[in-house]
Amino acid sequence: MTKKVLLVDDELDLVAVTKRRLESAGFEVLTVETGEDALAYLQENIPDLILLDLLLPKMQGEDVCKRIKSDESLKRIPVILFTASATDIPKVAKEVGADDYIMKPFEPEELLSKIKKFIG
Amino acid sequence: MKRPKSIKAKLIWLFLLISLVVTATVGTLGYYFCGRALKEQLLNSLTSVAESREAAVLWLLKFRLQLLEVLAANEALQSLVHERNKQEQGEKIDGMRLERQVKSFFETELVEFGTATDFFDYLIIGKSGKVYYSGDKSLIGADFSKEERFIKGMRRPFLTDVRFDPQLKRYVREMAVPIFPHQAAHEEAMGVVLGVMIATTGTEVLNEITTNREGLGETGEVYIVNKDGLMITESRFIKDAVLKQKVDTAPVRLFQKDRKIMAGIYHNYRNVLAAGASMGDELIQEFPELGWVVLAEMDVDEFLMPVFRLRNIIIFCGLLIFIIAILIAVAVSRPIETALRESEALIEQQKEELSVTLRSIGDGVIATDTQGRITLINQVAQSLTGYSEKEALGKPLEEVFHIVNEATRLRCINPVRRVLESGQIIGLANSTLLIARDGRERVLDDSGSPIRDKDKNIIGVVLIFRDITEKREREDQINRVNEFNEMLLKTLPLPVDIIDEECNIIFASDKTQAIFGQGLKGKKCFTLYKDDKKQCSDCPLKNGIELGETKSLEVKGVADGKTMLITYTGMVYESRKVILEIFSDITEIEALQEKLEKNRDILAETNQELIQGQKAALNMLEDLQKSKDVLEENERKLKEALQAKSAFTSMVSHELRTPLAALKESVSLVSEGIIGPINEEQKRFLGIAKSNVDRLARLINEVLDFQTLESGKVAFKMEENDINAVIKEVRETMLGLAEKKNLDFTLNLDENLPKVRFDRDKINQVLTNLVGNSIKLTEKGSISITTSLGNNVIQASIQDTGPGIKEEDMPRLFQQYEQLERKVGGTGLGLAISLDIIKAHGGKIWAESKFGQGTTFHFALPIKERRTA
Repeated sequence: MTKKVLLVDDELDLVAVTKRRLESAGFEVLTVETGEDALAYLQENIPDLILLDLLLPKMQGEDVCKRIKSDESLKRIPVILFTASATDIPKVAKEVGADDYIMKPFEPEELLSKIKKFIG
Repeated sequence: MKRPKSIKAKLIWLFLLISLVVTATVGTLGYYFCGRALKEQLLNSLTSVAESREAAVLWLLKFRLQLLEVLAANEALQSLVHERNKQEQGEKIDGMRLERQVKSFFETELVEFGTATDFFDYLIIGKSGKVYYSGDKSLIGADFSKEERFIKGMRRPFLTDVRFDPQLKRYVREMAVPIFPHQAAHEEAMGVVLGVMIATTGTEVLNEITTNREGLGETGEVYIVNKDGLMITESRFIKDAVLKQKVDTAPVRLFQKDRKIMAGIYHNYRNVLAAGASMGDELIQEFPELGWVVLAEMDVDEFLMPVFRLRNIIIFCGLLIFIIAILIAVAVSRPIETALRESEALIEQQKEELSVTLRSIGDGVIATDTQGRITLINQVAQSLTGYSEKEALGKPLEEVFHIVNEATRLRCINPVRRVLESGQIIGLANSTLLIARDGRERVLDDSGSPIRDKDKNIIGVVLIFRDITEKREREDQINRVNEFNEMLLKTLPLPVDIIDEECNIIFASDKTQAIFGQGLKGKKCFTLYKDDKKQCSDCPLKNGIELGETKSLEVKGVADGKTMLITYTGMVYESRKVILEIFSDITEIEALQEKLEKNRDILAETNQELIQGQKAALNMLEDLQKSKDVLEENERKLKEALQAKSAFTSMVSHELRTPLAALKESVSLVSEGIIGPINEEQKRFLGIAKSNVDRLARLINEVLDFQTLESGKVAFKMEENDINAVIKEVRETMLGLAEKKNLDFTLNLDENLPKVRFDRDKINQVLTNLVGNSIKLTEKGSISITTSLGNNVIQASIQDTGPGIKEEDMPRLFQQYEQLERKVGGTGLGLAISLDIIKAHGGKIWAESKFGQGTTFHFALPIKERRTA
């Protein structure tokens, strides 16, 4: 069974290469650009993992993560923050209940090993 | 409650036992004696019955015999027998007259006689033994000369025993009497007996006599036994016993053998145990030919009935007495028991009171008997000796109460022995030590006294003792304090004295005596410092002074015109309320004060000038305040600008990083061949692109890191860490780079360094940066890291054999965006970041270098974490 990864980011170039990287590693990747779309998608679907950018057009990645982690049916999905932000990411991750984080730019090995840690 | 009950039971039992013994003894003795007397009485009555019956029989026989003798003396009979005797001898007799005589005798005399007696037949026998007359006609003419009854009857009256007459079918007996000639009776000798008359009678009268059983109850009977041992009268129990029932009993045998009578208990002819009496001595004396014995008997059961009744009465009485005894015992024991209980309760209460008293006594109490064995030990004594009451009781005193002389540590003489020997109350030496069971030693105050009973005899010894260890220590302490105080007061370098309530000096220190002269003790205080030698008007002793209250008074002209300030306070000295005075010589102060007074005016003037100066100063202060406000405003603006700068840098960094990420990933995807196959040259150039992307990313990170550190927004994760472990980690990651340049990378670590609180990642960053710089700059030689313990710090030193730093460059070393050599790429922020990190840990970072010979960077972290910015 192919594992499904939901990638939430509005940087479309980065989304394209990251999607390709994950697909080449054997994951099925779904992409949305906004937090609202992500939550709407989650109404109907349950992915195996979510890669979530913090700096999103309207609703911020922090709020999306909090919403996911406070929803009984979604809280078990691992969420990995995916960000270029300069702020103290480990602290933010802890606050919003995210399971891990990856700083942009990233090493491909790091990205894959972190994802496989949850859905290997 | 258990004991009184048993006393009651004991009382009752005792009572019952006594009453039982008494009753049993009286009963048994009574039964024995009364029973014997009664038995004797009863046997006597049986004997008298037998005797009366014997008398009756005897009388009957004798009386009948007399009657018969009277009959035999009848003239007509004599004539008849005489005539017939003559006729027998052949003489001629007047037959007609004889016939008449015979007829008249037989028809009238004998019939009359028979009616008066119970004789029913007669035999008249002549001299020759020929029967002349008989009721049984067949016997007439028979020869009786050989018959015993005829032979014996010729000489004297003779009685035959009872026999059965088969013709008459009845029991008969006969009485034979001689017939004497009427006229010759007195003149002629016995030889002239005419013949014998035998009268026959039955056994009715005998039976009448024996069957009179008056007073013989249900089983009593009287019967006669002949010399053949056969019963000749009727039995009460056996039918047809006459001449058939053999009676072979003790009294019969005794009588037949020894002609003795007896009374007693024996088995009778029916083989039943019976009481009986025999009688027959008079009969046998009168009629030896009969040998009859009269027996009166009664079954022993009935005979002894009165005895049994007596026994029953005695038992009944005994039981009655017993029951009464129980009732009395219960009735008597109750008040006794109540009294006992009351007295016991009293004793109990007294005991309780005594024990409470003993317990409440704060002193140890031990009582012993005269043998020195412990009979009582109270709570205090138990805790002082370490023996519990259970263990101590009965033990010799010296075993429990181990006392030694404090100085010599020799065992003291047993106080009990001393008391017993002296018979008086004794006290222990002051320095007595009690050694408790656990070895603890206590100083004792102790006394022993004899215990006497009411006759003044010594029956034991009581020891009373107390632990005065603390008291002794306290006393010692007080003594020491007192000595110290005494010494202190005496040698105090202050003029001090103590006066009592009558103003007498009772103490004066050396210093006081130095001022006022020797021998102050006993003098009135005011004589020291008053010219008029009178008590001061404001004397505190007049007005009274409270304990601990301190006041002072000034006296002038004392001891060669000095001014003295006397500070005094109320206190207790040697249990008296006294005043302690301290003298201060204020003569010079007085003088100074005067000088001060003079100077005061000058001061006032100066003051005026000062006030003006102050005003000017205040104006200056206002100006300063204004400048300060401007400064603060500037500072605030500066902060805002810094923050804006920081935010801007952040944003720029972020915005740079995101496209960089996409770029890096694209290049990676292509160069890894994921998108499609590429050739070696393409791969090499993509590698160049990728390493430059990485460099760009690193530069951005450094800028960002520095910004973050500078803005103070970074939270450090301070934890206990091992610096050596971090150094090993860094070497691990950096070893590859060093090896690429053929550099040695050695560690020289002090493994005993303590753990220190620091942020592991940040220190790693510092080390990585320093090591990275060294590797970058060193072309040959080695890199080495050394750790050591400094003064409350741990120190790490990173040494290289690189080009070194010029001395003029040293000050710029840790400045931001400084790069001494543009030889290698970098932002020039590495050392600045390191400095910030180390400073944030409260540590220090510095460098030593000689140009051309290499550089050593040192940093030190405090062992105890200091609060950091």
